[in-house]
Amino acid sequence: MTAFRKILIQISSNTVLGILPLLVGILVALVAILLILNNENVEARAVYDLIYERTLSLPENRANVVDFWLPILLCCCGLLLTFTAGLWNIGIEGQITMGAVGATSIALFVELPRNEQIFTELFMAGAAGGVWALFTGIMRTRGGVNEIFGGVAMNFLASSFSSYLLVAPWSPPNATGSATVRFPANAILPSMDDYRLSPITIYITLTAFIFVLLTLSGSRWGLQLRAMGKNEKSAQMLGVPTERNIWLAMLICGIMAGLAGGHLVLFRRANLPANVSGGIGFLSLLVVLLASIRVRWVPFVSFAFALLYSAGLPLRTRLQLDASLIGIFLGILVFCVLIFDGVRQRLKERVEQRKLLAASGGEKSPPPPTVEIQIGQEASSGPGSN
Amino acid sequence: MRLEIHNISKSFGQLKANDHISFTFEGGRIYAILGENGAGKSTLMKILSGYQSASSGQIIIDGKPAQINSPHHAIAHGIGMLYQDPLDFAPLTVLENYIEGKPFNFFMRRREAEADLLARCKILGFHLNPHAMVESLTVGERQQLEIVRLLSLGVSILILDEPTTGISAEQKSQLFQTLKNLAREQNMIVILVSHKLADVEELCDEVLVLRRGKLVGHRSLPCETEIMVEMMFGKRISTTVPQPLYTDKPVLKIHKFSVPARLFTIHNINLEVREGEVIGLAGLDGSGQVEFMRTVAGLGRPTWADQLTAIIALAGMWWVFGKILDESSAVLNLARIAILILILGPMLKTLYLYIRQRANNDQIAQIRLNGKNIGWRGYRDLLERGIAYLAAGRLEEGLVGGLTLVDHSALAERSSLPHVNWVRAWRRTKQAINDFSIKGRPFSQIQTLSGGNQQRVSLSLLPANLRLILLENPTRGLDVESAGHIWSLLLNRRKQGTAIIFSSPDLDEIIDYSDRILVFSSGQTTLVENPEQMTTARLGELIGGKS
Amino acid sequence: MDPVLTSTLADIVRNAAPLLIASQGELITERAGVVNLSLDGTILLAAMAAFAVTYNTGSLGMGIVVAMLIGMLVALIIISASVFLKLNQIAVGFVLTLLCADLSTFFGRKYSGQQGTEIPYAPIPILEDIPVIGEVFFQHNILIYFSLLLVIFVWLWTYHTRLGLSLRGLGEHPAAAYVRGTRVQLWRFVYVAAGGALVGLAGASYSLSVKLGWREGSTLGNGWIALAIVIFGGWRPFRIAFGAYFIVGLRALALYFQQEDVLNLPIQIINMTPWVLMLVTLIFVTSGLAESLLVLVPPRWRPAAQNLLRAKPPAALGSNFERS
Repeated sequence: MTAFRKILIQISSNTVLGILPLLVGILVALVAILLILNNENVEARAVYDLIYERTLSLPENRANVVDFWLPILLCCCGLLLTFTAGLWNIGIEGQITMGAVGATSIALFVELPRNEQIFTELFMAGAAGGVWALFTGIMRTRGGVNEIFGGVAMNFLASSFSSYLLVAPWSPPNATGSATVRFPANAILPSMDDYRLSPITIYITLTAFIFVLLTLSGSRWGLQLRAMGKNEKSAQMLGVPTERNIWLAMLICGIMAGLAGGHLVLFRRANLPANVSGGIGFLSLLVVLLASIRVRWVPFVSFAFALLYSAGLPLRTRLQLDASLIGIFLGILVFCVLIFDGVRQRLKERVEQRKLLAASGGEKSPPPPTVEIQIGQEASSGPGSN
Repeated sequence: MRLEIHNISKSFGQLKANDHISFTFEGGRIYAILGENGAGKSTLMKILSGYQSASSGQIIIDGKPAQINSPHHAIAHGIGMLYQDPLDFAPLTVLENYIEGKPFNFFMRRREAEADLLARCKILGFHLNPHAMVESLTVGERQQLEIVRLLSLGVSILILDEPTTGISAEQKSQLFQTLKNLAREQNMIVILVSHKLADVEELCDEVLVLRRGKLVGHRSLPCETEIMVEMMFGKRISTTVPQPLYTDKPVLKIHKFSVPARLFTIHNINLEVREGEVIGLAGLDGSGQVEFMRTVAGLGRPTWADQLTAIIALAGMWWVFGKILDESSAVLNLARIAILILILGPMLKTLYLYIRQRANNDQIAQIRLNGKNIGWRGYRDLLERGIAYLAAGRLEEGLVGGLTLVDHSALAERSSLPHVNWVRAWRRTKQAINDFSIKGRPFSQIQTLSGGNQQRVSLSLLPANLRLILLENPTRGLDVESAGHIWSLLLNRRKQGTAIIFSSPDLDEIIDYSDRILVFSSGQTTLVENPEQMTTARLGELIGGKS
Repeated sequence: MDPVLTSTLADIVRNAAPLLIASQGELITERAGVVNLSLDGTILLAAMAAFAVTYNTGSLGMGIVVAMLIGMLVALIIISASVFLKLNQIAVGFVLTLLCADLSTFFGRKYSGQQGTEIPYAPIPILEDIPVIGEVFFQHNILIYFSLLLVIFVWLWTYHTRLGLSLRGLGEHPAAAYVRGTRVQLWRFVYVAAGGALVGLAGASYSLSVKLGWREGSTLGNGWIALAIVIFGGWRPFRIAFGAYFIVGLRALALYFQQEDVLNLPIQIINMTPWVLMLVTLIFVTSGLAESLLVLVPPRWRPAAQNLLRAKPPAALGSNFERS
């Protein structure tokens, strides 16, 4: 009974403390934005109204937000896997771009019966994104190139490549090279009757999310990824196929990102524009950072982010502001959450240490022996001898 | 020279690492500090050397109270410490290591420092190349560098933490001679922290014993070994010599094998390991023992052929990708991707393995496990086939800090099911805790366990029917009691015919437990058939390169 | 010598200056054991701020100082979060990259496309008359000269002064530096701040000299290139300088080809080449492939060749120092 109560208290206090940094982060970010708006002589009310009007006021707008949210959630699902395995898949922007390019290569130049057409397009989108990610993974395990640097390089390669395609081989006749021609109707993903939403994307995203949720909550592979994220070498020693897992995690993440890119061109845009991803890959990285890899938070956080982000565009025309205002808000928010979560961790350590002290009779004591650099082997291994 | 410590105390949370220790060290004498793990000797030394500060107590040098807040202060007061893993900068040269930490000048003044270094080395009889990288030195040479460096800073109290592990007999006698000279001629205080009683008896004048943070004994040497042991542990400890259990059946055959190591490349290793046999690998740190074991376990560096296949695969992907976007026939593209993913990859690997397999004649290096060539297989593959490896750094390569014992049990389980059966993992953990007498609960995080318990967890995680266990310094940082426990667990596994290969910087351990010893020295290996007739001194000479 | 070639070389020296300054700044930071991943955003924000301040006050000095302060501030945020809160340097750096880029876009929108002041052209009196060399190196503005001197200064500092020696120790084995009396945390802060200031200066040198003026995202990508150059250069000042000139040289070459219609390649494809080359070189060096090819080098030159290829990051890079 007492043990049960203890557990209950622990869980509740942890949850409360866990949400606190988020609240503080939102508060700080809001204050910062208000200050900026004040400086620009724009009323906060106007910005709020605009965002509300653009996102939640009408059913079409709500559908639009959901449509914007789905690819972000898809990317987040992939990133959850790589983050758990300790991989910084910064290359996700490139994977989205390549997914879009892959889908376009079919949509523009191939005509198949409806079902096969859609399937082939999505397959190409996933394959292109996946190969792009796998490339980074192989360079990481075999070439010794850190995935951050490899990812950045692959991002640049992907964006140069897509802009090359837009300028030369895929550019529409007599055009500037900012986008391809509109895809034929046969190549575009089907939409729901009532709202402009793609059921296929919804199914894909849902499947991806459930897959990631199951993987990370109880599967053997999820446990292996978790162990790799904490200590890759030890995981290998325990018999985890680390190299294969890195490739697999990168591949799956790449496939999801590629499908997200496919959705962008096949449904949202119906053509391939320059800079197709529009930063949703980095946005997803922010989401996963904010949720600190907690799977259950991700849908909500990503929805909130998508809502704000999709409302950004008219800020420029209507209020002489800029879409980057939303980026600033989200950036400050994530930054503050990181910082305050750090503060919370340190405070928690302090409290635990004080408890220890109280138990030991209140002697003065140094910081707890959470040591990274150890000299000798005994004292630093902390309390408890053989 | 006179160093007094008064009522030094230090606690970590509930643990009292030092509990009111008082003593007076006199110049010209060599002291030994003995104690089992967690007795507080390292803590006391770290307090003296300024790496940690005491919770309470006083240090008095030559009658004057000294405030020691950092190693730098300690050196200013004339106290220098030689840490067990030398605290130096591996990719810098000897000279640069020597210069760093000297009184400040804006420029490096290399020439001046080099002359100084060489002169000091000459006095002490050390041979150090000022322009060699520190990473290319043996532990013994790195110690010599640290000693020269500390002496050049005017240190008159020298503390050494386990200085005799991992050095050759020659280096050891040279070190002892130096220490004696420093004490006798320059009236220095030398303090030695060690658990090797033989070394203590050979070198020291007085011995202090710590137990559970308290100073429990002080004797002048010579004194009987049993008395020292009893003071250390509070009881007598008897070590039993294990009975050999090996058969004639060979498990592992190594033929014409060569391994590149940090200091030398070892050529032409030939070894046949029999069922149930224990083979100890002796040699200076970096002579190739670890690299040898890692290569046998499939953890060696990937060969250039591995790299080449990866690069070909990358290039292939690149090419296919370019092609896809050049042309526009979807069916063809899909076919290409399928070919790439499904055929090309496995084909390349099979081809590569086939070539390696064919290289199966006596002219070429090979490792055979039960007659099958395994030289090209990776660690995981070999684990399935019965070769396991335990690295020295338990929390670095072996156990995953932040995961619980149950998590580890689930990770180490071989199963093709996609989900984890947590109940079974929990049961197995309970069982292991019982069988291996692990002090910990199933849901404790692994890093909260002590070193000995971590090592027991590592052993409990090994699969049941192994042919060979390779261990890198299995009792690193463990006291005699835990080490004995680990060894009895290990030796038990011989009953199923499991062979054991281990390396250790502790020559006594190698002599005690090995059925045969493989000595690594200057790129050569020598096999010692009967370790019973071996003495530590003789083995020390062998690893130092004297035959 | 061909005047076109000479002027191209002079252009390379000029255009490489910001990359050179930023990568030397990152070199100092990483040598001290800290990763400042925010370069891309910091350079953007610093470039915008330098332009805006100069535009509003008319003072170039003010603009440069503000840019350097911004770079320093961002770097200090990263190290503080790492030291005091034990946060992951990469995570904080990444968030700051995005945040700074957005800040630069938002606050820079009024200055977009405006005419600004340029750092005055200041050829060095006697040296400029040397044939070729004079034109390539000595007919620029002060910032470009600074970038050249900086490389030499950083090299001298790290390899020939005592403080530089402890800088190398700091990133390699902080515990060893600590027992030798180096104040680890203090010096980390100092070097990280100095590195950050240089990154800020790189931003200023874009908007005030190399890519005169401000446009949204005008320097996008250069921060990442600077980070890559540090890895490519194996954490050594001169190799990093070579990397910077190499990348800029490739770009100049591409432009030249395009103008002359020598190669029929679109600019986007040529833009990809530095990245491909960098990846290939990196794979070649870090995978150990290059080392296994060392057998081909005559034994006499082998250690030198090995040293040349060496590309190990500082051992304690990205970790936190705590004394137990």
